[in-house]
Amino acid sequence: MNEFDDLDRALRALPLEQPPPRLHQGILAATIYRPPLPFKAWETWLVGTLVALTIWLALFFHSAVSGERIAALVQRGLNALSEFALGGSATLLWLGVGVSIVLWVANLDIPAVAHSRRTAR
Amino acid sequence: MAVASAARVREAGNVVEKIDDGRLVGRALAGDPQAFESLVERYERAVYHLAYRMLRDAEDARDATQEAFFKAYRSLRTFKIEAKFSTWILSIAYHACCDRLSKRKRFSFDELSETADPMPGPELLATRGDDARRLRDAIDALPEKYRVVITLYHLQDCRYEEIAEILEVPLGTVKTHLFRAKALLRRHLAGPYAEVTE
Repeated sequence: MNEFDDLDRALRALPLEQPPPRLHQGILAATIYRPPLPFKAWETWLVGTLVALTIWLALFFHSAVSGERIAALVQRGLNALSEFALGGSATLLWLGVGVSIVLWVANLDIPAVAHSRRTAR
Repeated sequence: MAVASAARVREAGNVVEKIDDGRLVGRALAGDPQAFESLVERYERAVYHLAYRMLRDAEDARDATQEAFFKAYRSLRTFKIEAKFSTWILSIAYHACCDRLSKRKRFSFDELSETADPMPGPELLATRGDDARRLRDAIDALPEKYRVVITLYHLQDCRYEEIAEILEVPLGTVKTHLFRAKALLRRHLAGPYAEVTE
């Protein structure tokens, strides 16, 4: 085995290492038989971003505004709402119409015609 | 040559169907799990062989092989159909092994030791009769950068360009490393091995 040609021949004849018995199953379990993730990637990113934003906002308020000031801000917001929005008759009218529509739609009984047609075919 | 190369890499796959790798990748991307399984069958032994030669540890080699196929599966969309799947998967496996070796804090392609590992002693050599075992031991005794090149040379059947692509080194470096690796192998095989077994 002193010549390069002999060495080349010996290298080509060298058998490949025998993989461990459960390697194939392990690879397939990690790839094609891997259970799908409950969330899609973009959903995970969205939820993560929202959680991060919420935490950041909470920390921001906690550090920038004291608890009493938050309560005062909330109270001021509610006062403004009752004075300018809920005080007007037009606003109350439209609010009533909206609530009525929601209740009507929620109690509406729609027959499952489309579904039965599809299954009958 | 290409056929011989493919046959070499697929040696253990017992692959009878002749669908080329590019089409299998296409089918796997279209959602056919059997297509990816065929690719695993074709290349798992070659990938494991490379991992085992690089890491010299069966457990690590198994994990690196799984990791390589997992990464390949996840980034299958980035595979260029005109490229060779064997080169691509071996490149992924090579980098997975490098990561593991660098975690062991004893591997860097540019800073590898030039000195070979010590050869096994005469008692051990006396128990190793066959040529394949002797050659395998001699390869294991090579410095790491030469061992990688000689392993890929063995797997890819002398295709220097593909070895260079996998290792991301210039073609000249591959040729130089291969020449030195073969010279070292020749020296090792003609040394104490020959005296003991011949």
